[in-house]
Amino acid sequence: MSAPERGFNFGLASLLLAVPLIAAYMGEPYYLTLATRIAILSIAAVGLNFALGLGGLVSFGHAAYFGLGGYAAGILANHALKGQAILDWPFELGGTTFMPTIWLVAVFAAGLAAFLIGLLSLRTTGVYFIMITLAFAQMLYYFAVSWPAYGGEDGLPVYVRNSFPGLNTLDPVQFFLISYAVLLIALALFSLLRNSNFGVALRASRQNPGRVASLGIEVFRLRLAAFVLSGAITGLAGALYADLNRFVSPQMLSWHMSGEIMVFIILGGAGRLFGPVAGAVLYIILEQSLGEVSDYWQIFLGLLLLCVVLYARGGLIGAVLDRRLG
Amino acid sequence: MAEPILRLFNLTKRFGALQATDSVSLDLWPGEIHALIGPNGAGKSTLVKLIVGELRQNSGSIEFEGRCIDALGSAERASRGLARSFQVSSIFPEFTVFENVFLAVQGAERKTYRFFRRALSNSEFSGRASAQIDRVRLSARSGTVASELSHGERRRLEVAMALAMRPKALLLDEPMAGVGAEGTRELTKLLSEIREESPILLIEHDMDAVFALADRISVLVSGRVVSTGGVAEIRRSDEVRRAYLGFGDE
Repeated sequence: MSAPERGFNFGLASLLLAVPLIAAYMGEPYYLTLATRIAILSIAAVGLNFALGLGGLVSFGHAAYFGLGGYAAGILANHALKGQAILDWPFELGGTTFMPTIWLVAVFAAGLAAFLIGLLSLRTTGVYFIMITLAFAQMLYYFAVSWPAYGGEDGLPVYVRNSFPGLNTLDPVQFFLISYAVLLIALALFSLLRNSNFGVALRASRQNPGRVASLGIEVFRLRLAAFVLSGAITGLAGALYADLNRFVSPQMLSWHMSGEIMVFIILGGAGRLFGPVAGAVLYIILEQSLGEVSDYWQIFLGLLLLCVVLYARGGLIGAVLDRRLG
Repeated sequence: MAEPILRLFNLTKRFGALQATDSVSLDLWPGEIHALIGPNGAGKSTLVKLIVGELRQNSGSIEFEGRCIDALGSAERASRGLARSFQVSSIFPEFTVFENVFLAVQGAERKTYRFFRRALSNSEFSGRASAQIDRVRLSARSGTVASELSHGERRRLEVAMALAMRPKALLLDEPMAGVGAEGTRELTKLLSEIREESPILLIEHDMDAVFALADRISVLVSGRVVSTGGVAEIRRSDEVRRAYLGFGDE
């Protein structure tokens, strides 16, 4: 990573931390909620960035893992609050409102789903891969819509925000800080992995998969590992998102969500460490500022996306840095 | 040594009605360069793909180090020590020369599933990569992104990647193609040194290079091996002249 990019990343991370805290201090707590949303959506996109940015795997179904994480949080909390067990047999399994446990379950559930979906879909490439991942996510979406036990189409409210030891998660500042910290951890993990032996091989497989195999590295296994990791992190974001909204609905599983996560990455810069963060920030700013002007603000988003794809393949970060470098 | 490294038994591959490989039996012994020559469309590339596992034969069998490898995929064959270079340079364009060769070392050592340590800080792998880059005289270009290399440099990078795997057998698919007279001389010298480390199955159109390097030559015509023998023997063979060298009436 170049020095200017490192500077840009540091600046963006600082702004994302400082602006909402200052705004909250000045009596504008709304920005805190917005920043929390940015942080959580960024985590989801960092997850996708493993598969898409590093591995070149264009998954159009990451809503599946986001939603599974969300439902894991929702269902566990729901059972805990009602005092009902999730399972009575073969062993009794109750709900919980303890955030770290919920995160573990969300990561595991999303990772398992990514493993099973990856096992089938990674046998295809290109457009077929995009369509298969989309199809699996839509299957989960319709399942959630039609399954009445957890709210079906209406979604599942989570009445109390889940707890984190030593913190008051209902305080918006503290919940923001939790989300922000998780984002930093996800970014650190991304950075480590990108430069590890695994990351080198994964990036190589995006450029020339046949050649990777000829060097003795099984491409399918490599991709599957990346896909599982990718899904698991997006699942963690889903659990946080459920807590932010205190509500889980099938919308989290819909293809709009998959598209949104992908747009963050393309806007910000695929494969770049802070690409997903830059993209999510830009997206939410556009949504908030243009959303006030027109209900059809996504037309402008579409135009911007078109410009990025046509003229700035490196995304926003690429456009900013390349200009500076001349 | 008493046993060939690589052995093909009656290898046959059909694409519909086309018999691309027709009961080919070949072997590669330690310390030798075995050249495979033949006119365009003779099935040389198909044969390479069968050996490395990119294609599956319809019948026949391949043995590597005395063991049947028919059931193994191409990645597994490569990590057992069957390295290759490609007819059309196949590299990682966004990686530097060093990263390209480093990945070859990593693949051969089966150390891909390490997630947290910085890969390039592994001094043993880095050293091995640098040594091979040095050997093909690309040291000055070590930090250059591979997409910026010239054609000849890419060919040399391919060879360095294959060597970095410390292969037990090397399949080189037209390594001299398009490298010019000077490049051919250099590569000829390099391959000649390599043969003691790893036997080479050399597919090549440059006859001067083949005659200079090869210990044995097999001639492939229409998917069939029409002749195998020493350099002198092949030069003399009428059948080979007619089929391939194109001056049978001299």
